[in-house]
Amino acid sequence: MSTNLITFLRKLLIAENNKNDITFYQSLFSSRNFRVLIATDSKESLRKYRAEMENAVAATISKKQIREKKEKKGLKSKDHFFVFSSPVVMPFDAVMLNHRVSDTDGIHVAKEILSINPHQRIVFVSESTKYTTELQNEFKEKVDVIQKPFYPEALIELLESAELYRALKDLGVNVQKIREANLYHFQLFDLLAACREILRENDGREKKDNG
Amino acid sequence: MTDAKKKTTDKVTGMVASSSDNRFPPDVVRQALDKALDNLGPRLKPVLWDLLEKECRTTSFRERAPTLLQLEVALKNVFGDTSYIILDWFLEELEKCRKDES
Repeated sequence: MSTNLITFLRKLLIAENNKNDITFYQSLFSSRNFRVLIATDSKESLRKYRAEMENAVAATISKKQIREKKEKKGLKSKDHFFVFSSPVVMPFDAVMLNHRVSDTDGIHVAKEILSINPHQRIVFVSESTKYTTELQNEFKEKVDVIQKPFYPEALIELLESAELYRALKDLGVNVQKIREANLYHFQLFDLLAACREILRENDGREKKDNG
Repeated sequence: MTDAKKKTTDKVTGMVASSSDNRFPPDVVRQALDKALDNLGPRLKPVLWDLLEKECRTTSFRERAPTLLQLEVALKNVFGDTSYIILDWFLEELEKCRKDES
């Protein structure tokens, strides 16, 4: 990786009960700017998720903070103070779920987490093609699936949204500037979709004009 | 949330004072927008420039620069929730232009 790229610490929640896999993940992520929380069953996964969600909400800008910012800028309370986007509350960059999380199916945990936070990125580690198909049918594009066996680099690439960055680069977007914005996966996805839509509509208009 | 992400969130929220607070001369606004859109590359930039002019209901940004409010709304219409990234670049460039002028 180029040294002039800004790298951000990413946070993962891994639901895994296999000791060998836990050791593998810890060793893989420790040197890669990932902070990892491990949960060994579904209850612990959800408890840790909810706790981190509460912390993330508390850290998000409040109405009181907006009022303080206004005062700092010498604005009156009735003055406009634009908030370009609602602050994103995201306790983890990704939640990795195993096929079976000790006491229950990973699908149940994923559904619970998505009901708390629909934007949360979920990556399933699947152990069979049958389960992969089941996940794809259940969640469509809402979750990512990586099937065992996989190369460690493939998992890192998936978690770092490498495919989306490549697609943006193919459109000619300055990817380094995008990296500096430190977007979450769903934001990158939305940005790519918007860029593609703009070009698609423009191509349609040009064809109409020429035809 | 990492420090870097907190910083991003802070930058995202509340940087522009008011809709009428268009403190920058049209040339400066256009220059800042031009540079901000450079980040989207040569394919998207001209298309987006045209779209933004249309969204801001002006025949050309050469005749009338958009206000910050117009630009915010236009970008939101085009990019949805990710519009603040481009606005962030724009404001960064605007700040540079302002510093250059002073």
